[in-house]
Amino acid sequence: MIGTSLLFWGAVTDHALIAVVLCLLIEGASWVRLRWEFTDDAFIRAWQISIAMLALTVALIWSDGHRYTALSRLLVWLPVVLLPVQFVQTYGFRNTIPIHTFSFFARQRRERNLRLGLESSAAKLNFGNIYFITTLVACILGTRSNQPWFFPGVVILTGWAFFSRHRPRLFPLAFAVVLAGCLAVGGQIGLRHLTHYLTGRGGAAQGTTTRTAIGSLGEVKQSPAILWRLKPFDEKRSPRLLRTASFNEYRGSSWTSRIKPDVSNPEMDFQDLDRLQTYYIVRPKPDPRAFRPSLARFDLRGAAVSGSKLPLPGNAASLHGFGLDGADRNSLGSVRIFPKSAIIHGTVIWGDDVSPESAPWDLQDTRIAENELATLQQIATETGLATAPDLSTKLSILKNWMQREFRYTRYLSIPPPRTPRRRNGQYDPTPISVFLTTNRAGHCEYFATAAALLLRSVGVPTRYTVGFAVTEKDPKRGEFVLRGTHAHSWCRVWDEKSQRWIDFDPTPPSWINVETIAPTRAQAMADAFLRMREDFFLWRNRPENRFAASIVMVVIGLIAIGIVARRLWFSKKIVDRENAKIRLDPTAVKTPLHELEHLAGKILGPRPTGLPFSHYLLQLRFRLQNPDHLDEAILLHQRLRFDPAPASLQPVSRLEELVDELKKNFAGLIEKMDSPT
Amino acid sequence: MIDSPTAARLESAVCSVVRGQKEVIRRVLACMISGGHVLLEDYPGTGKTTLAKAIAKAIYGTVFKRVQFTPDLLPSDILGVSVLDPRTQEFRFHPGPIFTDILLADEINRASPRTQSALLEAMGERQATVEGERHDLDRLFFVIATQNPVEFRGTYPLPEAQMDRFSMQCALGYVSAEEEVAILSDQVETHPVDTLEPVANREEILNLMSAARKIRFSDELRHYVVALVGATRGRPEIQLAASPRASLALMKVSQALALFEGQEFVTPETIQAVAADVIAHRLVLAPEAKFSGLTARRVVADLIAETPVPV
Repeated sequence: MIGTSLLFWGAVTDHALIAVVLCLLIEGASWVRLRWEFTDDAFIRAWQISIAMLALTVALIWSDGHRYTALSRLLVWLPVVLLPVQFVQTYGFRNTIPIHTFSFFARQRRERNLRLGLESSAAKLNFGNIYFITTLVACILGTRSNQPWFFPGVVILTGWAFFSRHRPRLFPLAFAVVLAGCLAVGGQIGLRHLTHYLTGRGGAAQGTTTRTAIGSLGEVKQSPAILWRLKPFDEKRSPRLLRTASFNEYRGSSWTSRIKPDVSNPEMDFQDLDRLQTYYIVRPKPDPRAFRPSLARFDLRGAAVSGSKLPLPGNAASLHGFGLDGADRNSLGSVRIFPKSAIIHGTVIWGDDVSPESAPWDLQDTRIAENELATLQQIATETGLATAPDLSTKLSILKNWMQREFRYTRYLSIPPPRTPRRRNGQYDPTPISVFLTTNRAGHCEYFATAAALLLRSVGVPTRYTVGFAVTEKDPKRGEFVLRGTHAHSWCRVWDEKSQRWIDFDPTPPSWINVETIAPTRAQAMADAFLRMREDFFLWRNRPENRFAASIVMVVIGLIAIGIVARRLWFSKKIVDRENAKIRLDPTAVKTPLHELEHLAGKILGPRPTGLPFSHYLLQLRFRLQNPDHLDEAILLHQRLRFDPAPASLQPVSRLEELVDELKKNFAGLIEKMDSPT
Repeated sequence: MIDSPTAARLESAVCSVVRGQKEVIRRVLACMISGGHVLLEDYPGTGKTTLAKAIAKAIYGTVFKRVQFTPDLLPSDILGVSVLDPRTQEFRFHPGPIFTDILLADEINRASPRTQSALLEAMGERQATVEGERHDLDRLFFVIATQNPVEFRGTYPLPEAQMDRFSMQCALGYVSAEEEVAILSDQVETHPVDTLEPVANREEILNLMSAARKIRFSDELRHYVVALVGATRGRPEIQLAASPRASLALMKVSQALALFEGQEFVTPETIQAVAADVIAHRLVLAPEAKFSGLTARRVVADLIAETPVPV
């Protein structure tokens, strides 16, 4: 059964070869006579090997950088990790493991008890059951567990486990099916939710929606962890704002990106950047000017997963040396990357006079919801925004007004919007109108959204942009760090004159002071550790190092396996099946009772060499219908067998009768017996 | 289950005095019937002396003597001395306590080795030589020696040669709580050993001894006995292995035990039942084995488990 579950595991997790090897190792015990006399110490050692393998697996998973899926990946490998313990049980002479093997403290307590002469009976368990369940759990987390054959597979395996353990009854079987179903479905759903929760930013990762904190209450909390590091080539030319995504439609309290209808799949609006030599061009059209030497450059490094968005200046030109499987950009200018490894490092070339977004289309970038309109027009008139002659005047009016009249705070006090409702020709106040008219305090999302809507109300195409503000410099290394607290939002404004989009940040510059946290010692340590980790990854990802590292790992693994195998080989024992039947005298009398040894073996296992036949059979005495018959048969057997004085033939016939009856009895027992796992 | 009425009476009489030790009593009696001697090693107060006294009292017409071994005990205190009779002007032999039927050598390991070895000849040859003169001992001569565990203070461990003279070494051990309560209730007024009536006479015991010798013992089992004893030789954890005398004792004691169990022949089960008692005390373990916590009985249990048993 374990073998089958392992094969199933192999099929679900795509590790078929490993599964076959494991299956042969475990189930091979039924065919080979190789056994070891494993003691409690051997169990403990096997458990320690398992722990070491677990640690190694954790290290490998960590070094692959899959932080969010680490637990499920670890669980998937558990059947391999726990193999030593199962091996020791399978190839030992005992079929249970003392439970104190698994706890250092329980072992200590037991040793103390033994020293003090206290009786302490060790609780034992059959590790096979645990191994089986572990394998099933690992199956559920396998990559192919969403296949249609997965569910019946789990149901069959669980049903089999129940079937072989209990008498076939409807209830346990139904229970098994329900349990397996719940495990499989619940595990998958739970896992998906967990991944979603851990990776967070769900919608934003898809590149189409961002939920703002507009209209929520409480305080915006951000992580101080370093996400990216930026090192400009020329310190004077460093970008101020790095955009990760832009959005062009505001509805309710979230910004969405609405793609031109002529793009067939709006979610896949990202277009492949043309690869020119080793450069990824961010411009709308590939052009060698995207990496001309006069452009500014900076190095960027940080952790990325497949599909995460790269923070880039609004006028980024091209990317170089990031080690990507590919990259694409949508018509709003967001760049999505597919990195080869968990930590990426490369050069961004920027300062172009071309912006990567497509030009505004169909009034999409000047559209305002009806319920916002009245307040916006009123404000635009009051501030003189509506009458300002050109874009730069408009921007400076808006910026000055906001700086004068508004206060930056991360404390959110504007209640959430309700469904727009018209009452007496007037709409309920929206969060933005509350922000603009009464509250006048908020964080960057309010400023950016309000400014975008105000500019749209006076006919300037504007988009909402999220990303990072480049503010914190690490003077020692001459590089900037981008933390979670540096996340920012601002506007992209269409400059009709130069025919391109420009950054406009309406938030009062004092926000930086509010956001800057006093550097704590713990944070400094976390930063240093993160940097070390990144350094290690970058070192490892270099092709020559990668090869050397894998060679070293393989050699260490082979040596470890070699040592264990060698020690096992020299301590092996061959269990001879015939051993149990060796007679000192080959001419010894054979009595009918000998025929029972085969049947009893099916219930009790083979008779140990030194155990007298009668003691062996008497273990079954209490399970027989007529225990006295067994006693009588044994007496007759002994008389025939060990009495050197000639015995009459009469006991033989009586013994045959008894043995026939006992045979039926034993066969009944075998049927009833729980089959061993 | 016991066919022989004498054996059954003897066993139940002793069991009525020494509570909760049926198994050990049977083996000790079997040892006596086989003509061997028994060494009881146990903590003080577990009933060693009572057992010896009960066996002696249960047999009519036997002489029971008891020697309390102390460090200053001399060989002549056991064997006897010749003293000058002033009337006849001749040396007259005064037999020591060894000239008896049942001898209880209490706390044998507290005497000096010299005194201990005085018992050797008597136990082995059933004769005593005092001042060059040979004196035969009684046919029923049976020694029950007791000793406290050797780790106790003021003990001289018995020499290996002497250990080999004992057919068996048993331990009585503590009895269960119920049995202990029964011991208390038995002894409210008198000790049960005082009221024990003899249940057999000397002749009957001697007959029993010859009956035990007639218990059938197949060739195959003789091989098994030799295999068991031979398995002690050549093992790294054993420094001094068991001698052929051990094989002989094992055969004789299992014959006697088979008699007590009402069989006319010996089975491997009987041999295994007494093997540890007969073999273990003759072994000397290697120091490293001893320090690793191995005991001789444990080694014998392993040997039994490893040696293929006839089925």
